[in-house]
Amino acid sequence: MHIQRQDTSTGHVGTGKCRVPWADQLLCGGLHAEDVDTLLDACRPVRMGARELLLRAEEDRALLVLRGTAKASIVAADGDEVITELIGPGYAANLPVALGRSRIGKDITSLEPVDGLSVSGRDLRHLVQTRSGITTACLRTVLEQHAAADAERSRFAGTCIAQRVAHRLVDLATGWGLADGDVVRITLPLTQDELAAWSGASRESVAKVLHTMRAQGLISTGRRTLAVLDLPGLRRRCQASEPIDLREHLSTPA
Amino acid sequence: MSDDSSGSVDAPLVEGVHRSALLRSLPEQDLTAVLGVGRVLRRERGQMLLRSGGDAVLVVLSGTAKEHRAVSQVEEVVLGLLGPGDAAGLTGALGTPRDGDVTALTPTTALLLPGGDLRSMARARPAVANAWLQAATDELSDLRAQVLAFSATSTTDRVVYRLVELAERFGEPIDGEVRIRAQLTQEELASWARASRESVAKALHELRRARILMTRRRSLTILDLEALRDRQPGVDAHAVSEPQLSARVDAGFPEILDIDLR
Repeated sequence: MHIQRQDTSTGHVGTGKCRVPWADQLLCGGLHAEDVDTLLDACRPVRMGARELLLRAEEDRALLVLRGTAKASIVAADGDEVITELIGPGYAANLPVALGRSRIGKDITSLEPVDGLSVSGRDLRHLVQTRSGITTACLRTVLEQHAAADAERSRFAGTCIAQRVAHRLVDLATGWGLADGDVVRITLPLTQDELAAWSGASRESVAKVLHTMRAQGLISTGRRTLAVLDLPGLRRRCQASEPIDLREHLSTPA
Repeated sequence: MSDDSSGSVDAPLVEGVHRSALLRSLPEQDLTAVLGVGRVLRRERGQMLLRSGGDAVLVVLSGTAKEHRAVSQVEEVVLGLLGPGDAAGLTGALGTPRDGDVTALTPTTALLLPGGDLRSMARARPAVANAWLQAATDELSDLRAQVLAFSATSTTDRVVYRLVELAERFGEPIDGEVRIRAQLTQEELASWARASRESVAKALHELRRARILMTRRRSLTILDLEALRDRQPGVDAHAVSEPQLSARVDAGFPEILDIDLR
């Protein structure tokens, strides 16, 4: 592939790692210089604008994201979009498929301009078979994603919509937020439909939850802007085991 | 492999090894090395196999266990069921604290592999790292499918999802029907499906009326698995499913069932 690299013959002396600026983002970092080179040789660079399809669910390849944010989603039987993950720099998307352990993944669509590396499933499987450094790097990456999916299952499944939306807002604030005093401005251009699709809720339910949260001073929303005013309060809302007062949700938006 | 009771590794245990994604593809030398650091645990129903927070990997060899987490003094969440070949703690062994205890639902035999030993073996033996990667990737696919299926569905849908899973993983096909052989109480099914016991009872009632399943005291039979599958939440994003139904029938399951799903 034709991505400019620094001279690895000097780059890895003393560090044991290649000095490609983003080498420590590849498969959780920890790859040795030779393994980085071998991996890069199997990759082709991908550069896409915002709102473009980066990878189709049925494609047998992995995408290593270096810059920008994308969403992983599927279209449910009823035609609705379900967003399963937001993907940022350092994330290796579609690994189960590219490692040959799953037949179908998710569609990956950029939310912002995205730079990444694409590696075919065949090449990745070959590397995993032949280079133990890449095997262990993939293992670390898969286990990290596994732990995230575990946490998701524990905290997300079966909670009420208000809790799910609160979880997602906390995710946004911690992953894509810009602190401004106590206020956290969310920089990711996510639509309300997408927030709903990511929260497993209808747009209407999300609008009601956001309305309540605004009224309680937890967040503020404007045209194309979203800010978290009270992150600790929002975090407490995630854990609320008490049923949320339904009357709050039934009030009409002002 | 040392044994905390006594005796050598018997047939059901070998069967469990053959079903484990972590162990079954290992060359003999590597398998011997892994088994060499393992300890065989034998537990009765209700006894704990693995506590949360540790870094050991547990591979169930025979029987059935639940992975669960207490949410209050009286309430628990069943996170998953483990049958022969299934593993718990694959992530914990690489440094992420595990969330959830593992407790036997039936008399269960399992292999306990200390995290430190497994880590050093994965470094020294590529085949072990590779097997660990495959097992973890399979689990990851399953987990994501679960999260997806659960995130936007009704309680009835979730109960149906779990019933299909029970049939596929713990069912025995007989004459076009599938008898489910796992000692799961109605509370546990409800917790596993993130539903109330009432919702589970309602869903079962409806499925009985539609002649999709039959419940008796201590037994549950799926009469029409295809119709049950048709009622699943419409999302089917995961693949490489569990081995075929018949391959999952476990010689080690006890005859006495404890399903009370009426």
